[in-house]
Amino acid sequence: MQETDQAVRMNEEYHRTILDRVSDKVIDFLIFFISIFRKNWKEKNRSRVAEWRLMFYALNRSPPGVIGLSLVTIFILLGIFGPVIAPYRYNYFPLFEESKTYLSPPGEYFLLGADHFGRDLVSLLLQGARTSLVISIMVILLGVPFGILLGLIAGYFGGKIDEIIMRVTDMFLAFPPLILAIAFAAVLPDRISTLINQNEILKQILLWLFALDRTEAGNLSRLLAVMIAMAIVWWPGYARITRGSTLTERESLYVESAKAIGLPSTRIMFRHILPNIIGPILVYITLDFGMVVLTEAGLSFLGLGATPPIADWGRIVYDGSQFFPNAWWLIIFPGLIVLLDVLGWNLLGDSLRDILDPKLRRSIEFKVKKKKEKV
Amino acid sequence: MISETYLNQSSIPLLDSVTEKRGEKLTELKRFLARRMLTFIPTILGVTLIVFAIAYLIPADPARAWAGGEKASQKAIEIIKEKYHMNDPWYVQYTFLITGLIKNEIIDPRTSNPVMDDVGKRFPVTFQLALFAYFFVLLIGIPLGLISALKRDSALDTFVRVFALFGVSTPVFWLGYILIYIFFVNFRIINLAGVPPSPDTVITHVPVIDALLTGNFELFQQHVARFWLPGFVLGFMGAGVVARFVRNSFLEAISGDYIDFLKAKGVPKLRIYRHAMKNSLVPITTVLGLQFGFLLSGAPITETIFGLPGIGLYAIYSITALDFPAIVAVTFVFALVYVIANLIVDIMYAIIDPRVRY
Repeated sequence: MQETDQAVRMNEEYHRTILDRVSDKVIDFLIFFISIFRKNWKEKNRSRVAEWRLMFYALNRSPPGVIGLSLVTIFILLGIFGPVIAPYRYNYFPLFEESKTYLSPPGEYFLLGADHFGRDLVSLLLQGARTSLVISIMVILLGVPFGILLGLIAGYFGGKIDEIIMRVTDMFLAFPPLILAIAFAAVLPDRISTLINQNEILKQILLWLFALDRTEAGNLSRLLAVMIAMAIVWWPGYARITRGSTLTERESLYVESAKAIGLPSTRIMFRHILPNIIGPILVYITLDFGMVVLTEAGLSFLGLGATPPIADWGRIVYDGSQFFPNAWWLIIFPGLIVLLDVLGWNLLGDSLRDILDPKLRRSIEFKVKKKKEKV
Repeated sequence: MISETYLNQSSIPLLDSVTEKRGEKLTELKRFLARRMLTFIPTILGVTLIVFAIAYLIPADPARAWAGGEKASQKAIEIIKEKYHMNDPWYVQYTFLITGLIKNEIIDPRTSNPVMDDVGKRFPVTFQLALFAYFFVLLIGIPLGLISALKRDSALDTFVRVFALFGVSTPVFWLGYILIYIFFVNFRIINLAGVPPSPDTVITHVPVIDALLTGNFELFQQHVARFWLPGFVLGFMGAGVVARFVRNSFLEAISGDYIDFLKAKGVPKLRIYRHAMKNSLVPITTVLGLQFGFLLSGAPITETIFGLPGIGLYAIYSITALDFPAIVAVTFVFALVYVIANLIVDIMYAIIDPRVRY
């Protein structure tokens, strides 16, 4: 076991770039982490780990992929640590102490200027990174598994169940996505607010997730409403993709043999079909992550979702647009941040599509090995 | 089907077989259209269901807000509740809402007009905006895609790639404000206030087309001056996507065997491209049709930036005023337009591609 793993590495010892070494370290750490919880995992999944290494080698050799991955990593780290490293809290209003901070331009009081409450734009952007990250992750976590589940059921069982599920999906796909999100985000908050007020644990979790103070508890319902509204918009696409690939997988031999030995349907669906179709879905998720960030910024630009003093990239632009063109920094910087974030996800998704294609990955492997012969 | 016509061809004269094929094709097309129309009905029913769900989720007491907030008299609230069937079971509410929307009987509490009238007044602006955006999508997307396919792997090809990438990644509001800064604040060559009047004679209800048809060129110019920048901003995202798509499908078409055959035959280059173009047109039509729906979807943000009084902006104002009949009506209208656009794409698809078997 150990030897072959070593052998894989020995083969590529000569032409691993710095990035490859970093990615190998990451994978080593991941293996270490998993083997704490599961004994023998490393031995059982040797080929899988080798595959992971190769995927990273392929990613490291495509510049867009590297740029995308680093942008995404930066934004995730900013989302996690942003509120902690921000110089000021989002609800600290310097305007009350120093009236000149009102819309002060970049460099005068703060690095990137201040908004109409005199708040530091850098701190707002860092806090906004958390808001954006939490909302997009929650939308993906709520919407995608639901869509995949329905798509699997529809594709696997077929017949009437398929018909019903796909008709419901079509209903949701009949709306322009942003319009449906706007409608639900507008209508939901009042319904949800009672739920949040009654449920202390949910309230605490949300406050912790968004890194907000207790005083903002009243505005949580609007954030939650945006999440739910976007999840409602997002699941039908996944139901459709999953159903399509499940339909083709259902006919393949391994499903038939699994059926023949009498495995239960749920096991076939989740343990056998799902791992085989998850590749393209992962690419969609990555590309969609950017779309979710963009849509969320758009919604909050329209005044849905976060309300001041909660910081949100789209909301900063919305508030700043009242003072346009004088306070240009309130529009340029948040917009640029959104652009970079979305760009990162799109770049990563594009190169993931290439990498998850087994043929292309083999060609990379070939390249790596050929170089060794030369050496 | 194919083998049958083949057999016929040997026995009957060629002309007969062709006309017969064409006739068959037409009846087949008709059958397809009928079937497509039939699936259209459940979709619309589904749309009404979701619209109702939105209306049903409306917070418990909009009546109080409409009657004047905290100090509203109990009687006024009761009247409003009764008028909008707020205390009735859900199926009564559903029929009230749907028949009300179709017969245009729901009164908007904010403007006291039937809500569909309000939407109808604002719809031409949104539609015109979408048309301008569509114009830019076609104008930029198709030539750029074709050029980048012909000059494959050149600097221009890379540029198109980057352009498409930035197209899908750029927030509309950011691009909008930057362009406003350039064209309005710096050069002062665009106008951002109000909307030019519609021409007196109404033909298509879209002001810019009406102005052109009635020969009112001054008004036409005013409309173009007001709408070109919002149209460009809205179409920016789609242009990149379409360019990429045109490039890929053209490359796919040009790698077909029949192209090699044409080359071997010595057909001039331009004619070869015409053949390839015709074949790549089918997937392009689909993506162009879908783009129209996306453009409508982007309308609220663009209208907010440029202050265009379309239904997107109307919906945004309705949200802040808790005016829920308006939200429901706008959602309904958007869905209708979207579904109809998809229907047209499907029919176009069937007409353009003679190989499609329904």
